[in-house]
Amino acid sequence: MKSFIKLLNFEFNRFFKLYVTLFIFMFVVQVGGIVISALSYNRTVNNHLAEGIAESSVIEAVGMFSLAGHMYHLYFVGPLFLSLIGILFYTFFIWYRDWLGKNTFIYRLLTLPSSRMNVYFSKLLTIFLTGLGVAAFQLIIIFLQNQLVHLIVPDVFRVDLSTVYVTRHFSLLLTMFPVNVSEFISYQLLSILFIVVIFTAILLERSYRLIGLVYGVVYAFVMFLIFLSPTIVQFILGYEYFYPSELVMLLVVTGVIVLVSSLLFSRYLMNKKVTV
Amino acid sequence: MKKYSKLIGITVLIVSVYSIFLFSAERLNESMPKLSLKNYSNGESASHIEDLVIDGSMDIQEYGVFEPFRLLDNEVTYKSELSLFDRLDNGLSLKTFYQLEKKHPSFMRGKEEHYTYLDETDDQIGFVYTPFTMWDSFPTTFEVSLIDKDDDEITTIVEDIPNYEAYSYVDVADVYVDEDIVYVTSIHVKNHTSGEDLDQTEELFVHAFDMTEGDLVNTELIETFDQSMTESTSDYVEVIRDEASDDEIYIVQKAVAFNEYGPDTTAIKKAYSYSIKSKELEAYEVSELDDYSGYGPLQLYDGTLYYLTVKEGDGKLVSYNLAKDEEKYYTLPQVNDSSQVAGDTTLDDFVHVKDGKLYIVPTYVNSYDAGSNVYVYDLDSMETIFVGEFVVDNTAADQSPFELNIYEVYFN
Repeated sequence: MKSFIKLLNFEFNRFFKLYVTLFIFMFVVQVGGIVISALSYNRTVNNHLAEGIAESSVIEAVGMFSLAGHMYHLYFVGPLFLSLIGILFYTFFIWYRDWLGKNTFIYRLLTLPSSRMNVYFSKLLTIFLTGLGVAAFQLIIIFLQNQLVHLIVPDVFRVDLSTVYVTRHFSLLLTMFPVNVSEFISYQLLSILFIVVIFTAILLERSYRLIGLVYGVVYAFVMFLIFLSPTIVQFILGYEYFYPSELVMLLVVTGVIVLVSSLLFSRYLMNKKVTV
Repeated sequence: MKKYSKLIGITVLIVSVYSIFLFSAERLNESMPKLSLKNYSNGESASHIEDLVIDGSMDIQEYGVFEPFRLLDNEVTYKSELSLFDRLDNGLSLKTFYQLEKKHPSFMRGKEEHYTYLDETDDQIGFVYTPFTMWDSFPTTFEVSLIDKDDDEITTIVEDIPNYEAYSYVDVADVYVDEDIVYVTSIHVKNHTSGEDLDQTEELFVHAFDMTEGDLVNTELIETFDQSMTESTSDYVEVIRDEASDDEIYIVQKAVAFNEYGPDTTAIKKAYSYSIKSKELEAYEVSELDDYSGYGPLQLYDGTLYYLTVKEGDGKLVSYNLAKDEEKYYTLPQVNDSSQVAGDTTLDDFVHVKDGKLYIVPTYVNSYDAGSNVYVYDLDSMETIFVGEFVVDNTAADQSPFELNIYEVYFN
């Protein structure tokens, strides 16, 4: 356990600089964007008021300022997507960086006096934590944006939304921040499943090199088919044979099958096939 | 410990932010806008709607609130209050179809409500399903079942739809159960194209299934209708059961003229009554009947047809006694000054007849449209016996504008 935590800390620290850069980028662009939007809105409203137009008519003409209305702006979506793509990229890079360079670091990792799976799980948990961290940081930014909107836009011209209400306006945020615990756990398990399958495909490539790349792609595709097999069966039948709750339970079963088999296969590859 | 500070920091951030978020989300669900049906009549009149079920959804766009609900006896159940599995499995609906899914999951497996028709008596449920997959062009078999309510025994017969190859498609229109005989009324359509228009011949059959014999014992052709469909007109045949009689169905042929700039107009071309047991068909003279606005639902009670229309700018309820050839217009009462009842939405409203009462429920309500209400009429006196208005108390969301979409109205 101690060596696992050490490895996890080590992996996290290796990503930390890039991670902080992503945070700063998200913060600057998203907070800056909302400040500029709010100030621009204020300017428009003030111009109308200066022309002697009544407040109600101004609201009718330009609408109320709502943070939810800015969720689809490039300055909000851009940094969020970039951060998520960055983490997806790092899901691959977290392995390949160990093989890069003159002194291949993987040699040291694989020869550590503990289970090789500790290396695997430390990388898995690093990716999982960084993903959750981005989502949590996004919530903090939304909260800050809300406070800034409160400070900049007069209350008669703004729709006050709590952070939870803001997340309900954007379908991607609804996946990242589900409003109940069961959905939250389901989405997190799904993301772990996704990372595990990608890791297994990477290990296949690292084990068998060029042909391993083909194995890896085929493996990921087959796992995808196994996971979705209940819905594929339903589609082939051409009617809704399964009740929706049964379909969800079957997806849980296929998800567990994919997760366990991928972990076992990864262990086999880590212990027997991966070479430096 | 210091060397783990970054890892500890991100873990604390994740745990604390998500805990606060999930706790706030839970509290927000509890303070969700509350829907109710405000009774504008006297207190006792609420008994008239105690078994009326209204399924719909509440939408407060500004706050991202979208919540399906069920309203029964002024008690609202929101979908978010149900268990996860009930939420997935249409647990909100009290319709017989979904209750049967819970009680007889194996029997109901794969059956879609759209292809299912049922008739419920005190002792039995007659159930007709026309199996259909996305790979089929149209259903070719009748799967007829009889469910005994006492012992839950289910008898099923599967028979090919008689001569189905000769038709373009077959639609079930009504099911009637009499002891162990299930009568299935179906419309069999033949398409003929003439130039750019589509002409159809619709043949109306009643098929009798003897559930003890396990066989289709009789198929009766009731009437043949010539239908035409052009870019601007379309004919339909509607089969309506008269609740006041034991076994009587009414068959109405309608011609709808589509209007680009206003409500469509419907003319009733032919009307018949047919007694399923005595096999007597009676035709009614309807040529003098006024056309009506829209193509809203027709309801029937004791030989009188009911539907909504707009006349001289006002929303009206029309009653037409087929045997007496007597047409009457009733002005829809209004709770307040709103004139929305005369709008197009009224024409899509649900009109239901049950136990000598007529229920009108709007299909769409918004916070600006205070005139859209629930009305109940006594069909003998045509007096309004209940008027209710949908009210959404959303103090938590600053009384933001709301929309209600009503999907289904039925009786529990």
